[in-house]
Order: sequence, then structure tokens, then C-alpha cells
Amino acid sequence: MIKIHFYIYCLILIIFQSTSFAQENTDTVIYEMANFEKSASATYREYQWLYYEKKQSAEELLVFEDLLGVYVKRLREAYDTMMLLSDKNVVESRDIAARALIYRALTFLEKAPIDVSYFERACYDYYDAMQLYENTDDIPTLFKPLPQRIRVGGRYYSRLIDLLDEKGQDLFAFGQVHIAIQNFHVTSKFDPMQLQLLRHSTSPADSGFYTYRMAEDLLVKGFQKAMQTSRRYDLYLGLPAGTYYIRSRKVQNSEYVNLATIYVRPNQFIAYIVEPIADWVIFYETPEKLVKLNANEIEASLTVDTTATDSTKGIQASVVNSNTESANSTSAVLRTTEAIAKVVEDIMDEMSEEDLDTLPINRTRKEFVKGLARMIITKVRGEYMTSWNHWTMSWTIAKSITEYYAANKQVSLPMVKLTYDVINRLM
Amino acid sequence: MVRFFQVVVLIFLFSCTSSHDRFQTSAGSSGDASRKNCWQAHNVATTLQIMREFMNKPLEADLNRDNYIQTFGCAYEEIELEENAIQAVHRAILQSLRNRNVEVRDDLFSLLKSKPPRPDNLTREYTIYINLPRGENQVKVASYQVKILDLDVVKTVESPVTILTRVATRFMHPEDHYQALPVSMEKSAFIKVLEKAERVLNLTEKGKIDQIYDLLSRSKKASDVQQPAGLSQLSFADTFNLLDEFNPGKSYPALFLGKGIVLGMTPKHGPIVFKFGEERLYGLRLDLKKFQRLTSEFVEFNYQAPETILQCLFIKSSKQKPTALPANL
Repeated sequence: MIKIHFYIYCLILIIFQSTSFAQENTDTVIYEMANFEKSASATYREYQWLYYEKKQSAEELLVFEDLLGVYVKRLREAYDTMMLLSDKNVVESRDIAARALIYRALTFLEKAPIDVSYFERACYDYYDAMQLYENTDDIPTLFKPLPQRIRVGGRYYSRLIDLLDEKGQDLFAFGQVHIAIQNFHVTSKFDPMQLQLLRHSTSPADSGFYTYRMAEDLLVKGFQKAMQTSRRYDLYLGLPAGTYYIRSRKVQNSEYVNLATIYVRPNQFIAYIVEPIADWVIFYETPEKLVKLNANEIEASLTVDTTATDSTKGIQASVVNSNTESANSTSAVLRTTEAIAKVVEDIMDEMSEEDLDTLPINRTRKEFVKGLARMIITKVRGEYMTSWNHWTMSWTIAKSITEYYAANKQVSLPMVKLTYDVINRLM
Repeated sequence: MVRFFQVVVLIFLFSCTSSHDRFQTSAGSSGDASRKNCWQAHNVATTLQIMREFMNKPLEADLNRDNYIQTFGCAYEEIELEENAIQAVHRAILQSLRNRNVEVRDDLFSLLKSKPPRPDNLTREYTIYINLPRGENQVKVASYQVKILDLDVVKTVESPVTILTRVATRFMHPEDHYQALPVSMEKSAFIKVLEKAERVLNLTEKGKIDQIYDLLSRSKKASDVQQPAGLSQLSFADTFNLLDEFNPGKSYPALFLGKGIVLGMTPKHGPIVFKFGEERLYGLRLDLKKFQRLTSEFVEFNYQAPETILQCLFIKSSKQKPTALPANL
């Protein structure tokens, strides 16, 4: 009996020790990460000082960029380690890793006016930072208060979004292209090294200001990886708005030289699936991220209506030119506004008093709710999302509504969160 | 002798690499837009033509005497010969089970994958368990014997590794046979699906979208056709609408063919075969709310349009396409 008690005691001791050991490890990694972040932030400030006040040469600035690159890499590794230790308690480490990426993006944006390719590099860092929050509902660090305010120029900033909103407008001229490469085999005749990415231009003025040099390389590497592993491979490209052709230099079908035509609109998300078809490659678009902005749809999703639709009804409407539909469009918009307003009200009911106080309610709550619903309809046109990320779209809407109802007020985090929740509910 | 060996090795290597090309051995041949008919290429027959001939084979007399029934299957969708063989045998066995109105208990696909039927090996016999209906809501477990009589690789328009198969099946115990006499002697219902799909694809080539809708509307409808909920759930011949971006009241019909390729009516260019995303070239947008499955046949038989035909249809249409988005988009 005593022996059993002894064994149980030992077991408990081992469990507690391993838990505290893991906790210790986590704390150490977080501590190290916080130190690296301080260095990254200091390097960003130092870079600005050298750039504006000391007018340092491009070579000297490159050293600082490389240094920032080392911090970003180390922080990313640390974040990956944290993810391996436990994916439950990663909020802090993710925020630190994301902030470092944003610092580097801001650094690149400083230099971009003298080397336009830096806009593209900044864009990838910005996307990478936001990508860390994919598949979670956690608020990106971009919108959260910084651990300590940073002074840029003559102003102090307590949130990165305010800084980016002021200095990062060029980032919003890019669109994010998500490419999922699937069903490729290593024996395929397709040669990724022959890929070419070209921008369509009808006039010299249309040739574009921003670069897209990194995209072709990423595309080639993506195909190589997909063919080596024979598995689905996902990659993101940051492309300035415009029409692009993906071609193979080794033409496989003389009748159709473009493997794909990609239409990139500013600050928009476009998803493509790439598959082989017969002896050729096909890219086709998947508008995955869409928002339901149809009153019936929203009402249906709210009431969880499971009524089946008659499959034959739609056939009659092969080419529909219904005047009644256009006449009803105004009432449909009104019904949509009401349906979205109901979603807004529901979410606001769940908010704390403290958060409600930060909303830019100028006169009545009803007026604010209706205004937000209308703004969402205006910003989310048609079927597709017009923004590449729900959070960035929420920010745009929250900013517009704040400017409308309380121009002097800062866009509050609860306001952004409220918009995000409404959009999520509409998906 | 050494030189002879080297030549043999070279021929072997060449044959290996070419057999792994995706469906076509000669570059660009399948997408030749000058072809009048996408189904006619290099004097190769279609799977349907070969199957019709193949299905004339009678069942051997001794097997007929031993209560076997024969069914047929074919597959061309995959680039791997073995995967096509599994799919073809699977289709033939399912036909046999439909003929006897019984259900399989095992995971038939996993069973075939664990002992894959190949044209070049001797794995030709399987025993599976099936549910034999007995009275009201009661079933009896019975053994079911499957003999693969033929498993041939042929080159067709669809694929150079099309598999045709003939299987003979019966209950292991004679008493079970008498309890479940075949209710049908259908050789392959999949062939009817192939016929219908070929008609749809021929009409697609001619741009007769209205006739395709008529053909699909006349099809046998299952009582509970599950409608596709999104793009990822679309299968061959599912229909939807394209919305006019400049005129919200207008919409145009479209038909999903597979691999992201669609036949759609456009405002200025008429019917065009395009891939998802290209609808924007015509100022159209997908209506993601109204996907409709007019017939469940293609899903039930896991039909997929031949990639070579899809490629040919797409490339034939590509000459008429605008090069860039409309100016005001």
C-alpha cells in the first residue's frame, strides 16, 4: 500500500515538474521575444534618424535592413517554437512576431520613394503579419495598443494601424492573390522554370508605378515545391492593381499562350486554384471569401431556414430581364439594411457598457446602427468581398463611420471589432 | 549484345516517361483548335464506342450455368493505370449489386485498393459481404463472389490508359442466389451516363445551351437531389446564373463542366466556354446563391468530363475572348 502511495506521489511530482518546466520555457521564449521586439522597434527608429537626419548612404541603410531582417527571422522562429509548445497560448508571441513584421514594412516604406521595389517588399511583410491571424478570430496586433508608444516624426503613436494608415497608403494599392497549386505530379511535362508573369498595359501611362519582381520568383518556387511533394501548395502574391498574364516561355498550346489572366484590384483578395488539365495547366478563380448581402439570404441565415428550393424553378429564368426585379431593388436594399441593422443590434446587445461608450454614437443608437448597416452595404458591393482581409475591411468601415459621426474621435478597437463581428455573421 | 541491351533500356525509359505524361503524348495535340470535333482525334475511338463493342461479349457457358451474371465497367479519369482499374472494377461490381438489388457491407473501394486489380497480375477474384434483404427491415449477411474476366487497357480519345473491365458475380451459397434473383440484367448503366454526357459536351461545342438545359430537365430525377451549396461542390452539368455587372436586372445561364471550366451565355459574345474568373471579361459575375443540380445521374456515377475534351472546348473558345477587363471595371 505504501509502495503504491509512493508511486502516485512520484507520478504527481513528475507531472507538476514537467508542467512548471514547460511554463518556464514559455516564459523564457516570451521574454526573449519581447527583448528582440524592443531591438526591432529601436532599429526602426534608428533607421529613420539615419535616413532623414544623417542622410546616410543606401549601403549603410542596408545594414539596418539586414539587422531588422535578423530580428524578424528570430522572432518568427520563436513564434513557431511557441506554436509547437502549445497552440493555445500563442497570442502574445504572435502579436510580437506580427509587430516586428510591421516595423520592417514601415522601414521599407520609408525607403520606397527612392527605390519603388521597397513598396512590394513592405507589402509582403504586411501580408505576412496579417496572415498570422488567419483562421482565428483574435484581434490582430495592428489594431491593439502598443506595449509602449513610439515617436515617429513629431507624433506619438499608440497603435500600429494609426501609423500605417498615415504612412502605408501605398500598401493598399496592392491586391493579395492566393494561389493553391494542386494535383501536380513530378512527372508532369509542365516546366515551372519557364513561367513568366507579365502585366497587361494598353498605354505607357498604364505601365504601373509599383513593381511585382518578387511574384514571379515565388510562383516558380511554389510550382517546384508542389511538384516535388505532389501535395497541395498554397502561396500568396502581392501584386499592384492591374491585369496580369501568366505564361510559359515554352509554349505548349500555340492557340492559347496565357496559362492565366489575373485581375488584381487594389486592396482586394483574389483566390485561384491551379490544376493540370490534360497536357496543360489551368488557373481558375474561386471567389471563396464572399459576403451575403441579400436580405433574403441574411434573414434565412438568421432564422436557419432549411426549406428546400425547387431545382427546376431557375431553368425558366435563363435570360432574365425582369423589370420587376429592378423596381424591387430599392426595397431589397431597404430590407437588406434592416436585416444587417438587426445583426448590428444583436452584437451590440452583447457588448459591455465600457465598449459601447467608445462607439461614435452621435445622437441616437438607432441612427448609428442604421448608418453602420448602410455603410457595410456601400463598402461590400455585390457578392464579393472588396477587401482582402476581414479585419482591414472592418477597419475601413469603422474609420468611415467614425469620421461621419464623430470626426474628432479616434477609431476605437470596439468599433472595429463590432464591424468585424457583423461581417463574420454575414458570411 | 551490349548494344542491343542499351537499345532495349533506352526504349524502356522512353516508354516509361511518355506513359506518365498527363493524358496526351504529343504536345499540344489535344488542344488543337483546328479540330472540327473535340471527340475526333488521331483516329482513336472514344471510350463509348469501344465499350459498346466490348459489351457484346457473352458470358462463358460454364459461368452462366453456375449462376454468375456479368457486368461491365470502364474508367479513364486518372493518369495512373491502377487507379483507373480500381474505378472500372468498382463500377462493374456496383452494377452487379444494383442488378440484384442488394447493398455492399464492406468498403469496396478500400478492398480494391488493398488488392488492386491490374491488367498484368493475377489478382482477379474477390469475396465481399453484402446485405441481403429478408422481410421487413431485416437483412442477412451473405458472401458475394467477384471474378474479373477481362481487364484491358486501351487508348481512347479520353485517355491513353482507359480501362475496360468485365466481371462475373454470384452469391457464394446457392440458397442466397435463389433468395435474390437478379431483378435486372443491365450490363452497364454508366454507359448511359457516358452517352448523355457526350451529348451535353457535343452541344457545348456547338454552344446550344438551351438544348442542354432541355436535355437535363428531361433527365430522371432522384427524389432527394442534393443541391450543391458552393463552388467546391459543383459537379458535371450543374447549372447556375451569371449576373450582368452593368445591368443588375439581367442574368445569363451557365453550366459547369468540370475543373473550373464553364459554358456560359454572354451579353455580346453569345455562348462561350471559359474558366471561373474569366466571366469578368464579359462584365459578368457568378451568382453564388443559385447553384442547381437538374439531374443526379452524373454525381451518382461519379462522372467526370474527360480533361482532353474540356481542354479542347476551352481552347476553341479562347480565340473569341477579350484580352483585358472592360474599361470601367
